[in-house]
Amino acid sequence: MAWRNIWRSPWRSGVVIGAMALGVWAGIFMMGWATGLNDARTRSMLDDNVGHGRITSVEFDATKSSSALIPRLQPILNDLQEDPEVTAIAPRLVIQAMIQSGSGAAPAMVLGVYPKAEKTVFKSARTITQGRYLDQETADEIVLGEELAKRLEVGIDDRLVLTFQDINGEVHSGLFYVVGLYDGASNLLEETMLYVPALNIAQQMEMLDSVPRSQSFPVAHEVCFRVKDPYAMDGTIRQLREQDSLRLVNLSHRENIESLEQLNRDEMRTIVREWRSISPELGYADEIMAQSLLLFMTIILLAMAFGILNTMLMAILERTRELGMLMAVGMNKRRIFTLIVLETLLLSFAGLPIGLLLGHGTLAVTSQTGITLKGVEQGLAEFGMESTIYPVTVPEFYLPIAGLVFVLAFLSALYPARKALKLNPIESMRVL
Amino acid sequence: MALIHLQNVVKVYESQAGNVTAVNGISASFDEGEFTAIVGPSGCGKTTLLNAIGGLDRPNQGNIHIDGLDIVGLKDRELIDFRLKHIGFVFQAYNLIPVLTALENTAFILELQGIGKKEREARAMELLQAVGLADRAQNRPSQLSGGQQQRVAVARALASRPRFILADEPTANLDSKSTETLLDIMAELNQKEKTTFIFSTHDQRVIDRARRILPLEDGQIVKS
Repeated sequence: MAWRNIWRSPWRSGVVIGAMALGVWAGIFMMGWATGLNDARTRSMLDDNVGHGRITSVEFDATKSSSALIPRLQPILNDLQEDPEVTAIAPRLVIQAMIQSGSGAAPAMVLGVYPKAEKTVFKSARTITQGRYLDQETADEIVLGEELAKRLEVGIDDRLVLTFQDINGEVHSGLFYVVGLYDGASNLLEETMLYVPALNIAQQMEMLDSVPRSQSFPVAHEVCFRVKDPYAMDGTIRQLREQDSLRLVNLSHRENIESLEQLNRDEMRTIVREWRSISPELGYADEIMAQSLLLFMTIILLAMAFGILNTMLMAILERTRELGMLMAVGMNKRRIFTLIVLETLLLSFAGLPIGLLLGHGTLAVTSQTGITLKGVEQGLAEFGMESTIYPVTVPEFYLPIAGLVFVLAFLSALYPARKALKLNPIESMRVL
Repeated sequence: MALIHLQNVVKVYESQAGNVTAVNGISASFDEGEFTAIVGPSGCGKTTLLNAIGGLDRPNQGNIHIDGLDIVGLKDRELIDFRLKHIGFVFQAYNLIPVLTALENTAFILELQGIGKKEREARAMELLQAVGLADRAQNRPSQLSGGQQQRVAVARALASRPRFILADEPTANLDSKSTETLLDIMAELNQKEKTTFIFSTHDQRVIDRARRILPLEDGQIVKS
C-alpha cells in the first residue's frame, strides 16, 4: 500500500525520486573525482620520494644511525624479487650530512642510491631539469634539487663538499661534482634531499669492508619497493613480515644461535612499513578526504531530506480524510506511523539505486578516459600532478551513502508521521 | 441483554460562539439484529450520537455499554482495537482507499486484523458477490460509480463480521436506483448474516425500510 501511495501523484514523486537520483549521482561523482585527485597527489608523493613500502633494520627505524645497516640484505632482496606483487626495488643509504659550496653550506639528507634500481621506484630520478641523473655506480657525482642549487649558487659541473660521519664515528669529507638538478614535489624536498651513488658513499663511510663486492647491492639502510597497487598491499606487507621472522628462525638453525635475546636484538631484525606508516600525513589526507566527502554527501542528502519532508507533508495534507477514515475503522497509531515512514523510505530509496548506478557508470567511464583540466596545468605540475585527472569508482562509499539516505529519510518521515498521528478521526473526516 | 445500551449520554462541543449541546441526555438500547434508523433534521445530533456509539468521540457525561463493556472508560488504544474488532463503519462519502482494488478495500479490515491473505480474499470475494460486484473486484474506486463504491464500503464494513454496523447517511450521495439497490443489499445481509445496522439518515427511502425509527431533535429522543 505504501508503494502504491507513492504513485498517487506520479509527477510529484517522480520529481523527488529524480532529485534524489541526481543528488546521489552528483555526490558520487564528486567523491570519485576528489578521491581521484587525492590519489593522483598521493601517488605523485609516493613516486617522488616515499615509495610504496620500505624495509629497514629496527635500529635504523628508531635511531637513523648510519651504522644501522640492514642485516643480511641479500635474502631480503631475494624475497622481494620473488614476490609477485612487488614490481621494483631500490636499496638506499640514508646519511645525514652538511653540504658546502663556495657560497654557503646547508644541512642535507644524502641518499646513496643504486642509480638503475632507483629509477625503477622513484620519479625524482626521472624529473631531471638540468644535466643528467647519476649513471655510474661509484663516480663522485651528485644530483640535487633546484632549490638547494639556487641556495648554494651552484650549477652543473660545479663542485660540492659533503661532510659526514663514517660508521666508526670519524668525520669525513668528500668532493662531488654536480651532474644534474631535479624538480621535486615540494621545495622542502628540493632543499634537503640529494643523491649520490651508493657505492661511492658506502666506500667513503667504510661500509664495504666486510661485504663481498660482487653483490649488486652490497649495503643499504633501507630497501624501498613498489607494488602493483599501493592501495591493496596489506597482504604483501604481512607476507614480508612473516618472511622476516622465518629468516630469523632459519638463521638461528644455520648459525646455531640459541639465545632468543640475541635474535631479538634490534640490529638483527627488520621492520616493514607501508607508505601510510612511512608518511603518515598521506594516510591522514586519505582519511580526512574520506570524512570530508561523507560530510559533503550528508549536506547534499540533507537538502534532499527537506524536499522529501515537504513532499510527505503535502501527501499527509491531501490524505487527511483518508487517514481519518483509517483511524476510525481501527488502524492503530503504530500502523499509521509505519505506513508514513515506509512511504518516505520507499520514496527516498527509489532514487538511490538510480543515482548510484549513474554515479558509478560516470566514474567507470571517466576513470578510463580521464578528465583534462585546461588552464591549471601549471598549478597541478607544482604538485607533481598531471593535468588529466582520473576519477576513481568509490564502491566503499555506497553502503555509507545508503545508510545516510536511510537515516535522513527516517528523520524526515518523523515530522509528517507525527502530524498524521495527531489527526483526529472525526475532524479529519467531518463525516461520521 | 441489549447489544448497545446508552445511559444519559451528553455531548457538549465548545466553540467560539459558546457551548453547543449536540446530544442532551440520551438513553436508549439497541438489540442484536436491529435495522434501525436514527432520523431527524440536520444538526439534531444524529452524527454525534453515532460517533459516540462508535467510540470515535467521548461523551462528556453518561455511559455507553456494548455487550456489557463500558466503552467510555476505554483508553484510546483500546478503543481503536475495539472499533477494529467489533464495529463496521459505512461513511457518507464512501471513503474507500483509492490505491486499492475493490477486493483489497473489502479485505482491508481483515488485513488489519492480521487474517491471512487467502482467507481474507475469500471472505472479501464472498461479500463482493453478495453486493453484486464480484465482476468489479479488480477495479479501483475511481473506476466504480458512487453506488458501486458505497456497496464496496458496505462489504468492507461487513467483512470482519462486526457486532454491528454504523452507517452515517449512507445514501446521501446516491441516486434513487443506487439507494434502492444498497438498501436491498443491507436488508438482505441483515437477515442473512444477522448483522445489526444503525443508520443516521433523513432520507425517507431509508426511513421507509427501517424496522425501528429513533427520531431525534435538539439532541434528544422525541417521544412518539
